[in-house]
Amino acid sequence: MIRFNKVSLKYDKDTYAVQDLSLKIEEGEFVFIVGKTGAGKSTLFKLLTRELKPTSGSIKVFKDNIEYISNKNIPYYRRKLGVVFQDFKLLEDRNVYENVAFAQEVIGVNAFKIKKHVIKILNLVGLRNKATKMPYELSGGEKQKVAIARAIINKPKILLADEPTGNLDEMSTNEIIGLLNTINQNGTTVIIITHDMHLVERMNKRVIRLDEGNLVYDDYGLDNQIKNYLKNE
Amino acid sequence: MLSYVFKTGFKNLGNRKLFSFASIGTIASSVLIFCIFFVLATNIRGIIKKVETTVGIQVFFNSNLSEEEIQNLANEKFITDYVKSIKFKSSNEAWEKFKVEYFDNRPELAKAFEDDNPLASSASYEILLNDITKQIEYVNYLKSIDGVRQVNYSSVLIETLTSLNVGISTFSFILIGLLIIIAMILISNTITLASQFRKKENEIMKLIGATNFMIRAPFVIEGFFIGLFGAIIPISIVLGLYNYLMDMLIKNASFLRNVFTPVDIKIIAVPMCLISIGTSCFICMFVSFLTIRKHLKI
Repeated sequence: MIRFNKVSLKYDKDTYAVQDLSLKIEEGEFVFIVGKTGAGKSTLFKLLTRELKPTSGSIKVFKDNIEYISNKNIPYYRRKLGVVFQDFKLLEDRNVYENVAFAQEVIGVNAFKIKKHVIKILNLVGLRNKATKMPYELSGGEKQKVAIARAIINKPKILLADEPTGNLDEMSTNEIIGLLNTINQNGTTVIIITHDMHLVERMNKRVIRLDEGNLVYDDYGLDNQIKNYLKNE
Repeated sequence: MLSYVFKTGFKNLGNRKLFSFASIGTIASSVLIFCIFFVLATNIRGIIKKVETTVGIQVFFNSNLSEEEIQNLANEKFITDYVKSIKFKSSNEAWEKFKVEYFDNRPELAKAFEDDNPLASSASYEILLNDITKQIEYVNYLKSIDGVRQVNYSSVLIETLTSLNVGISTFSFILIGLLIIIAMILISNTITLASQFRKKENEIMKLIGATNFMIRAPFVIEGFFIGLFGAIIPISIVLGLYNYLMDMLIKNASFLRNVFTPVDIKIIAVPMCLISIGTSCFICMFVSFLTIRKHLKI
């Protein structure tokens, strides 16, 4: 489903954001992308959303080399992805229902279908009774659930989450990860970028670790280096 | 999709009331000046039209020419592209008319000239032109013809009307031009502010997969509403006050009564509304589109 083939992105002559990155993610996988600040995690995220283009190599998503997608067709590619951010990126002047409906409004879904879909998604994330609440009336975990609802309402094949639990307490983190797990079990490929190694350890899913733009680990569970680090913490 | 675009465009307008108000106000000022100019120009054209159909050129001939020679001369030389109608008035007809006009109450005075036409050499032609602005040129042509003694015409009225029309047009165009430039700058600022205000929303839209059209269209619609309100307000003022002001003008300027009948508001309203609303909305939408294209690289 996703294939990076020797992907490099240079910021300037000598600085690489990612270098010779090759990896493969299959349909329906649940993958954590981990690494220190500046390791290249966000670059990988932006390469997948086609906010950035590699300077060399190729990225294949859904059988297409996304670096060749024309500007005109980028929106249609992005509709196959769902994106979630650490800071939620909710519209503060709209309530929960409107924030979720927004994702369908902007791609031209008709109003009747929007209502049906939003109610269904809010039920799934457990926020049906908070549909009329404004973002400032919600907890961090609830805000992130709204963001997830918005990300999945258009039925994306891939869900990309950039530090989705970064601003949450442990209980909310567990709820969000549980929700992402459910979404994954329903067939969506989930890719989570995170710093939270304890969370990654608990989940025992596939982990891709980047360091200074290079892929240094790709397997299930954490590598020994990180495990030791966590032990000594 | 369109409901989202219109709803968001309209909502944007309310989000930055002061800027929207300034943009609408400037557009409204430009459109108001245009409407006033349009009303004046239409009425001046009405006067000119009336003058064209009522005020003619009168041509008199040398006394040594017989009426037959005069008619031959006229048939040969007077009819050009400018001429709408040409009418011969013999010296007898001139005398009869004179008698009616001046001796109507004193027929005994007219009788004194019974066998002697004092206007014997007053056979003339009355000529109406298609386009009154060509009058001077045509009069000069007539004067150059051998046998023509005198040409009477109302040069002052025509020159005044023509120069008034040109003056109002020039002044209005300069003023409208300046106001449109100011309006364009203000609209551009309003839209720039709107794009900053909605930066987060636009970022989310981009990542969700909204097309460039969906992201940009609300800003263009915001421009459309600025143009629409900016046109409707002055149009309402002008249409609302037109009849009242024209009545006042006729009442207070009695000298205008014979030459001036205000053009019917119904004749003015349709073209004025179409031109004002169309131009205003087009300019505002165009400026909004250019501004948002510059600020929203997608």
